[in-house]
Amino acid sequence: MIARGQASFFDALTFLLIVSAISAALVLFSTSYGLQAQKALYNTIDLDYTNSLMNALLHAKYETGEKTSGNYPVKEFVIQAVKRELSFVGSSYTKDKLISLNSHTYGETKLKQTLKELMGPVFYQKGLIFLMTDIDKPNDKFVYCLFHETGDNLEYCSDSGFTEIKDISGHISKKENVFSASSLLAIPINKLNTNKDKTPSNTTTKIATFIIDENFREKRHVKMTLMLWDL
Amino acid sequence: MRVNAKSQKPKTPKGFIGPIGFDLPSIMPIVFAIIVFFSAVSYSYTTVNEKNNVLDSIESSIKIADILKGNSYLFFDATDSGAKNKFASNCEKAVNIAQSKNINFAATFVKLDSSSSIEWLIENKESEIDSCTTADGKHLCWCGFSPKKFDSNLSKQFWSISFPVTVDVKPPGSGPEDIYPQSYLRKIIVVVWK
Repeated sequence: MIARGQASFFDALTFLLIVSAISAALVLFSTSYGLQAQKALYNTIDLDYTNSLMNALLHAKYETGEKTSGNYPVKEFVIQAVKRELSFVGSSYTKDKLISLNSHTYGETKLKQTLKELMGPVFYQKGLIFLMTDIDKPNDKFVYCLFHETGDNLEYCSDSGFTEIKDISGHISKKENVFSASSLLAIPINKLNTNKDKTPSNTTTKIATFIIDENFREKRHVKMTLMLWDL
Repeated sequence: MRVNAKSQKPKTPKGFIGPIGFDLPSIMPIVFAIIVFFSAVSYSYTTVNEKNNVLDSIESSIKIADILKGNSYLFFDATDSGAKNKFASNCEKAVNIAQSKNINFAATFVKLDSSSSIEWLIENKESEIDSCTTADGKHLCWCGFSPKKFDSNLSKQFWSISFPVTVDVKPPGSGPEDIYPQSYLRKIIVVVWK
């Protein structure tokens, strides 16, 4: 025999259980709500930032106080990158000295620091590779790259030159002598630096062609590629 | 015959605690369930609203920054406060967007490694570019509304975004034949708030 009130008490408990489940589902929904949309927006910001950086570099000419009529985006980039505090900037802009960026000769720490500032906080959690190569002389070592770890820990792609990159990727067309996006994407990052095991994913690549003017003694068509990936 | 008044009252069982006494064990879980449910609804509503606001702010800041920076190349002609200034025309479009979305924003230019306080720059309508003011005092490197005060509570609701741009400036006093002799690689900072 069921005592008075007993049946309704269990009904109430069942009600409580069902309502709790619905409430938990609501809370769960609200907690996860918008995460995908937020991630998509952050990806948009990353893409916009990369494009803006590349476009800004394309348009950059010279810094205040240096009145010239030429258009030297690469020089400007180097100037910005090293903040005009390194010895070679301001003295001469020879091809060799630009290439020597790869040889750790000119204030590597400052360069890293400045590049970090240049790339902005959006890249702090991103890998980054920056490559420059001469279209006309593909065998020249004219490659500069670096990638972010987190915060201050920036890794340098040592002396990775064009030839080495070509050997690693095996996808670069010798006929065209240019990097293609697909070939760059095919380069596993752990091949660029044996200490790392990062593979580019969700990579943004943009290629720009530069003409380096007489300050580099000769005109050179340089292809610049910027890549980033989630760490 | 004496009538006992007490005996006339209905006899209540032992432990009787009121008309709803027997239902109390059932009512308590029901009340608790209702409290839990409405708390969850309220929490979800607040959370979803906050997230929608954040998403809306992010989206608006991206849109406004995109309009302001254009193709990441801007120029200012301090000898002419009129139509020659690309940023001014971009600014007008951005203000229209902001008004249609019912949001406020402020934008200015800072160095890539700027250590200046964005709050200070925006409050004082400053930018880290020289020659940004025309002879008649018009700010060329500024766009949007200046918040009356960046207090700590208000700044929590702000959303900011920055993109690198190249800015060429033709300073006051330049001749018509002069090229833009000053070029800057800067970040455009856009601060958005409701």
